[in-house]
Amino acid sequence: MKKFSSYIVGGLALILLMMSILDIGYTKIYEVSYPRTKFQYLRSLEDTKVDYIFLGSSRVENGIIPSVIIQKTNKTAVNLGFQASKAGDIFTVLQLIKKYNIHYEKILIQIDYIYNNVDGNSNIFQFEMIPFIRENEITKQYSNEYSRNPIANYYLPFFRYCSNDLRIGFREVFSNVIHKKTTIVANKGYVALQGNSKYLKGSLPNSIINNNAVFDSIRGFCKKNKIDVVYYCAPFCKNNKNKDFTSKLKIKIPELIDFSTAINDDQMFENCNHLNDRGARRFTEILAEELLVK
Amino acid sequence: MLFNSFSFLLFLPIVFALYWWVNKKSLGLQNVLLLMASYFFYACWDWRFLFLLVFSTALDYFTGIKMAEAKNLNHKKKWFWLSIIVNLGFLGIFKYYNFFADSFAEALSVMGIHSNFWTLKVILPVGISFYTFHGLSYVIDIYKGRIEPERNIITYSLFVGYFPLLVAGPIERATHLLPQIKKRRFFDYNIAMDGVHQIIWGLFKKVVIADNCALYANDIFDHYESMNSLSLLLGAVYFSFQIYGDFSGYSDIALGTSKLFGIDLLRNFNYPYFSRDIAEFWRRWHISLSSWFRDYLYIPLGGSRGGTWMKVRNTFIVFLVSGFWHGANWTFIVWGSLHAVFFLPLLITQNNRNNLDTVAKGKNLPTIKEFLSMLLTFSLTTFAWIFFRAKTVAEACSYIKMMFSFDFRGVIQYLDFERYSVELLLLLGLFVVFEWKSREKEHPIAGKFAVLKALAILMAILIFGAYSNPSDFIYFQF
Repeated sequence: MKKFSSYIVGGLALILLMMSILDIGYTKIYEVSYPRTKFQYLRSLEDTKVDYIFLGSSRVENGIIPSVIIQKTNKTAVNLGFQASKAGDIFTVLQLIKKYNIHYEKILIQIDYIYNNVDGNSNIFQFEMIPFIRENEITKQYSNEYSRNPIANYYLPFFRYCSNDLRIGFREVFSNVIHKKTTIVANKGYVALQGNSKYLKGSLPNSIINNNAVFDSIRGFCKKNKIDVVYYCAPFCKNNKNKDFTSKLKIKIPELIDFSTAINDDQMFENCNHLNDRGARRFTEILAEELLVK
Repeated sequence: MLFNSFSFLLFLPIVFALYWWVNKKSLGLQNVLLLMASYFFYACWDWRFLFLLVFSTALDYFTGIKMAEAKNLNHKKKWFWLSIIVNLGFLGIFKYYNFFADSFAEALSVMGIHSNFWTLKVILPVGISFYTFHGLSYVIDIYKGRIEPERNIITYSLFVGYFPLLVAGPIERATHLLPQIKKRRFFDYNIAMDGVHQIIWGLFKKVVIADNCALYANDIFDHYESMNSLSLLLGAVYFSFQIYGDFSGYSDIALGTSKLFGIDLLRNFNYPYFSRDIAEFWRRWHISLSSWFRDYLYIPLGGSRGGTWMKVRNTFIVFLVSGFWHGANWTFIVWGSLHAVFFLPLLITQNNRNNLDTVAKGKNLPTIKEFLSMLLTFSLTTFAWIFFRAKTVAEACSYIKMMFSFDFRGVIQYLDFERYSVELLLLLGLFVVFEWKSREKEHPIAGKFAVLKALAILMAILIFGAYSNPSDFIYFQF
């Protein structure tokens, strides 16, 4: 029995060692490889200067084309919108921009119905951040607040890679190792949508919440750090219910620039909330002319 | 409590340590501890169904004794049928009532009669098909005079409720398991080590093979209308490996766990995809169920005696019942019937006992004939698995029709969960090679360099395991 117990204890120790080695290896690969995800791209901007930074949800990621901004303004721009982002995600990106010492002239934040989401976060952002949760206090805090097993993720080696294997497991690590590129860097964060849904319709919330504390934190942070910030609302398709939501939003955020009706042609939408590539190009031109060239 | 869960990782060492600690005291205490642990293990799913298990155990225990004490055959028969009817009655109510009610209502509606049958909102008690069959074999064996009834209720309860086999088998026989439970067990280092290695191999099959295949197979089967022929073919192949990895992985963990307690369970799988014909497949797949049906259904029906027609009839009955045992759905019945149809030519030509040994024994590679036979058998079983996996017979037929439409648009399709449909083939290829090299052993980690192989497999479990969407063991639903 003693021999067997030693085998089991030794085996468990070896498993723990293997997990530690794998954890270190995977994390290192994510740290040093060419950015494949938006979060890796954000990290890669450390100590650089970008003129315009766009933050928000997929309505930014799929709706703002940095190359068009560059063309129009002769200034640099990056799209740091993350799919399904809520106010908490935007606030975290804002803090990380400061942490990574990224210099900029102006930050443009897209706000719409996400104003109503006080809780919740973007799963995509969360997955992409997991390899870096031990990197600084901001990522650690985000993980504590939003991930399902924050303690195990942080302290148990390799647990985070096992429990999120579909997103950041072996396949993604292997893609990083062989430098399998995505379009993230080439398009400076913009992800194009193609096509056009046949029956475009959507609905905005019919009411707005009194106050979004996380959004107040964003505002406070911008004020404290003297950030030149622009809040805007991106276009929606024509056949959208409760369009007056943007007026309600403007009462909450008086400085909001409302582009919600800036694109009238439904052919430029992939779905009611998201522009397709043609629409994104047109909208980016409009936004650049209105906010950045004038 | 799943075998591949964190709670089982805590449960097993605690029970193991207590078990060998009380071993120093007495056999009775050892059995009481195992029984308590087994009931706790079962109650973790749903404690209410524990009463059903205890009732079923008590019923068979008492009817077994009453049969042995019966003064005449009539009395004996009375107790025998009481046990059979109550056991099958429970199984019928929990597993088949809604199926029959729905099917009857549908049949009436075809005739223009619309009825409102009461369907019961019942949850299927986990493992009911397995422990009912345990009990039935025990009662039938006593009735036939093959064994004496067990008079110690703890011993008998442990025979039915022993946790490694409680929820998904293997379906044990009283003649094999009861003598082991009645005998004092002593710790054997080599057996325990082999048990640990078999658990590791079972985990690999479940977490790496079955759960990865499940991701692909589920995506393809759930969106089969938008898939091309190649993806549909791959979906069927992935499901074949999913169900094999899932069920044989479970069985390996069960057998390995039991070895830790010094109890040997019946082998349930013997590399079934290396079978050269369907008859061999059934000697290697879910062996404990196949042999149960052979001993308690096929032989009592007359077996192979009485001419070709009797053999054909009995074979069909066994496969239909086997299909129905798996679940209350026409898909399982079609699946069973298909196997009967595949089996028939072998039976009629008396070639069903041609391949009793291991394929290419002592050789590295099979002959071309052996290879083609294995490929054909695998293709037939894979074809039948489509019915097993589909939700309805119509869905399975539609799936097959599209698979044979030879539509190769887009050739390699990108699936909903952001993977190419062919991506898993390399891993499966390696798995097949590894199993092929080990086909003469109980499990691939056994033999030379076992510790090194175990470490390599552990590493593979960590790296290639599918943990994001763990799926329940398929056979829990039966």
